[in-house]
Amino acid sequence: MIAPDRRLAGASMLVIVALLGVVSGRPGASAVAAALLLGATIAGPRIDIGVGLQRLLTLGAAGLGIALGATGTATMSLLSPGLDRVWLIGALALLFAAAARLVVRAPERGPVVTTVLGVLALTAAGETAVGPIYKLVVAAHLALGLLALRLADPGRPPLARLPRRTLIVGTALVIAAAALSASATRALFPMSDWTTAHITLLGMPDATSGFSDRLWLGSLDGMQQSEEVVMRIEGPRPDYLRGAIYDRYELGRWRSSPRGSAEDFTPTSAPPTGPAAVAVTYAGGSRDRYFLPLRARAIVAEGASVVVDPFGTLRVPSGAATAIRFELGDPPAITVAEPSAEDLRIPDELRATVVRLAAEWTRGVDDPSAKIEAIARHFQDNFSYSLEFHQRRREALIDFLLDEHRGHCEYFASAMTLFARAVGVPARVVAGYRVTERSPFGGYWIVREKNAHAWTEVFLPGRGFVTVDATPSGAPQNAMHGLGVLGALRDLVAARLAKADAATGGNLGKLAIGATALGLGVVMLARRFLRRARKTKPSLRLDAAPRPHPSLARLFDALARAGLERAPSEPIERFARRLDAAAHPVPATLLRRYAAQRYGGVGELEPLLGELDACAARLRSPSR
Amino acid sequence: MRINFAKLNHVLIPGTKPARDRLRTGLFGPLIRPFGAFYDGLTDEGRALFLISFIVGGFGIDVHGSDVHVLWSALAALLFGTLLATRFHALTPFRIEVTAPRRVTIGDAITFTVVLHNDGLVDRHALRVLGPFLPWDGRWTLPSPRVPGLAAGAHVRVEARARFLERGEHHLDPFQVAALVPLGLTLGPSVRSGGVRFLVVPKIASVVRLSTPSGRRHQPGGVALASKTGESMDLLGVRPYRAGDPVRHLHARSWARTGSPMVREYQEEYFSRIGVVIDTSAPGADRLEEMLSLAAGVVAHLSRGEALIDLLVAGDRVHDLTLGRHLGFLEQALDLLACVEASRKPVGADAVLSVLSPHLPRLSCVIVVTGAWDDGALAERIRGSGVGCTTLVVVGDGPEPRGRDVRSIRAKAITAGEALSL
Repeated sequence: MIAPDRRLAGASMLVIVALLGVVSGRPGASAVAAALLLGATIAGPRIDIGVGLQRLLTLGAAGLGIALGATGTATMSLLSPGLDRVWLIGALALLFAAAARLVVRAPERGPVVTTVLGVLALTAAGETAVGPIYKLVVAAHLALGLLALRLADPGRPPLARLPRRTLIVGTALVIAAAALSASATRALFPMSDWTTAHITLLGMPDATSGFSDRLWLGSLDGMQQSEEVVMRIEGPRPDYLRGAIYDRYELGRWRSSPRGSAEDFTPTSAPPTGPAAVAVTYAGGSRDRYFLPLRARAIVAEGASVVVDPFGTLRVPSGAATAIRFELGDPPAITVAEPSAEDLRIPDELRATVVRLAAEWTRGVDDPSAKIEAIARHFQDNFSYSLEFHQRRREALIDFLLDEHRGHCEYFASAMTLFARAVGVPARVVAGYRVTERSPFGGYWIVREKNAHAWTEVFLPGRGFVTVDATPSGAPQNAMHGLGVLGALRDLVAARLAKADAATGGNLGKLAIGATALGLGVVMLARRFLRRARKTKPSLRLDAAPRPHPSLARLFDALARAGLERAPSEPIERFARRLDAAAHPVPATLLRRYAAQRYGGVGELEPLLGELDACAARLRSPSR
Repeated sequence: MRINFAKLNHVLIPGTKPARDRLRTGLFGPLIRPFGAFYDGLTDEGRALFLISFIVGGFGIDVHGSDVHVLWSALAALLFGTLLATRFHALTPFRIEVTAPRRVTIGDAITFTVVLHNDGLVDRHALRVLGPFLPWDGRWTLPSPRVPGLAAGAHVRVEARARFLERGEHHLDPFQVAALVPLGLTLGPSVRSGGVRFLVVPKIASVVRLSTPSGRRHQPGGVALASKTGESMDLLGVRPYRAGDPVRHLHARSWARTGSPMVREYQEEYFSRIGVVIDTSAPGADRLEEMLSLAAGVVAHLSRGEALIDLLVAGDRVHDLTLGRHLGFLEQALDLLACVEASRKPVGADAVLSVLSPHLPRLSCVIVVTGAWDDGALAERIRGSGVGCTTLVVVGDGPEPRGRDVRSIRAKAITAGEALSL
């Protein structure tokens, strides 16, 4: 005769094997597993071995499961996609280990571990999109597993001996759990989506700045999805903030040609004031350069050894760029290197295509400025913004121009630069940030990693270098947007904290810890003081004594109305003797019984209270 | 240095009940209490499913790529549902009483007798008795008792058994009893017993023979040999009857042999009075345990014989007592030995003599139990006071010390329970 609990445990495992047969595409392995489990269930607990041997047996069985899962090839699974081999191996190993425990007379740590192995096997079996069958299998496995645990527990009476109330509660619990489970399963999808959209991005490590001496097409991809705040700007919107300038292009890579050495930057003596003054604070991280608009004057930069390179980029080699102040307007404080032959160079592989297309797009236009405008408009009107780009050829820009007609800012900036050069206008690619996000509370601008952008600067006679952005307006960098209320508040707090940290010389964290410790100390002292103050001295006042039970009070009240009042300090027993003397034996007996129960634990309280109430009622209305 | 990992594992848990109670009612108590209540509210099965739900949740976090989240939802729903139902399974009115022996030998199992009283009007089903959280040295040797049913007004007696590895007073937290919520994953609100207090005493070494050194035979203030003077004194001989002798002392055979009345003559004798000195500055905790075990064996052996243990000195603390011949019980000495703590600094001969000397005049001899041989310095100074002294040295695998009235005992022999003839 098989022990009923083992029978149910075996059945709960067989349900999983059946599921594996459906999802794994390995009917042979599933059949072997089913046969083994069935054999173990029928054999029942007949092996009596110690803990060490039990572990060996379990490990051996798990090894057998691994071997079975690892050998053989999968046929077509009934479900698509089927279960990966790794998960099949895991599930079989766990099931075989559970089967080994079924034949052991006293398995280590009891049937709970067997159930746990089953649940883990079910977990491995569910590592694919199974569909409604999985829900059925989960329900069946858990029901059988819980029943097996119940039967294995000697401290639980058989179902037949349980009172009806317990059965009803149990059934209600099962129904409630099923409803809860179904609701949770439904709610998990939107929760997962929300979490992926918010928490995962916030939890990303600091995006690495794509600004360096080289720019690979696609290097800004990672930054495009990061919400990391780079800087906060107070004052008028500077729009395009330049960080790196490139003039030489080779096979998908821009770099800066040597144009002389960097020079020490001499800041303005007085910081800028007035409506055009802009103050930029970096939000943290190591920055090796300041981002400035093309036309900035009266620049005051913080940090030691600030240098300016020939392209007009302000660099801090020590990586300690923290804050900068400047004013928007002409003449710019930093001069940009005059155009050279490098600013007109087009790589040989691209020349034919770029020149042909540029001529086509600027047909009928003579003015260089108008040509630039025509090319930029063509890109904006006929190309689209996309973070996805499929490169097929060696030269990605050919794909962009001829096939894809979509890409992100780096492709547009690169193409625009080369097209400008094709029509005889010196041009460079600039990488930096666009300022598009304004905080409704703080009245300042926020620049995030995702605002990283690339554009073109063309040299027009009489106007000098001019910013040209060929990226369509659908690009996130080009779209003006504000923050949500919560986001704005969060950023305002972060900004204030950053300011306070700067004001305390970077010691805000230590100060906060100190203040918290001090506050806790004050709270603890206050708590102790209040506790001591609340402690009252022991009192012998009668009104502080515990009140009698309501039933007893009712009886006393009824007796008082009948002229038999109990003195406040009179013991119940003495009062009962007085009642005896006054020919009231029934209340006297009840009071003696109450005293015996209250002070001696003799008798039952509940029925006695009922009798006290009944006696009180009789005394109030003697006719009853 | 040997690390006690079991003790290290409990380093954050106070060792005594008052300290644990202080923690519960202290500043962090309210913070910890919900977690403790949650943990206590789950059965072993519930805890296993709770823990495994984290693993399942981890594997099922990609809800779009797999169906494991269905299993997680089912586990979470089962646990949540049964947790909500716990408050409807309170046991009232119900009592739990726990009794335990006052002392247990170190390493032996102690049996707690748990009596459950169902004082209510409703039959109760599926009750689980939960033993308290044991200190580092304790371990349950039986699974916690389970009671399938208890009728209204009835009571049931079950047993819980545990083993403890450290001497001293143990004050356990209350036992609890709670009703199982249907599905068997959680328990209803529990009813608690009082705290349980007992002593873990050292093992009594098997001392089968102990020769005490010669010293004073009779000392002032000695205790009569017989426990009831005048009724069971030792027979000294017979003598002619003198007026006033009790008639019951007449010796019929001698009277018949001599022809004149003869009476039995009795003489009161005195026990030898012995002091036991334990050197608590033993090299290592194990050695101290072996020494205390030997001291317990010595006291047990002497208290069965014609001697009185009059003094017990542990380190520099003197316990004045009188054991043996119905004047006291071995348990008194065991209780004292249970609470002996190791001295951090070596206790010198001067310190021992300074506390011993006021008591030496009334002792016949002294037995010194030590783990570190001092070349007989202490023994010689005791002998100088006219009191005999035997030194019992517990040694490991090293050489055995030699000297006057010195006996060395191998530590292994004590722990193995070998019969010791000293």
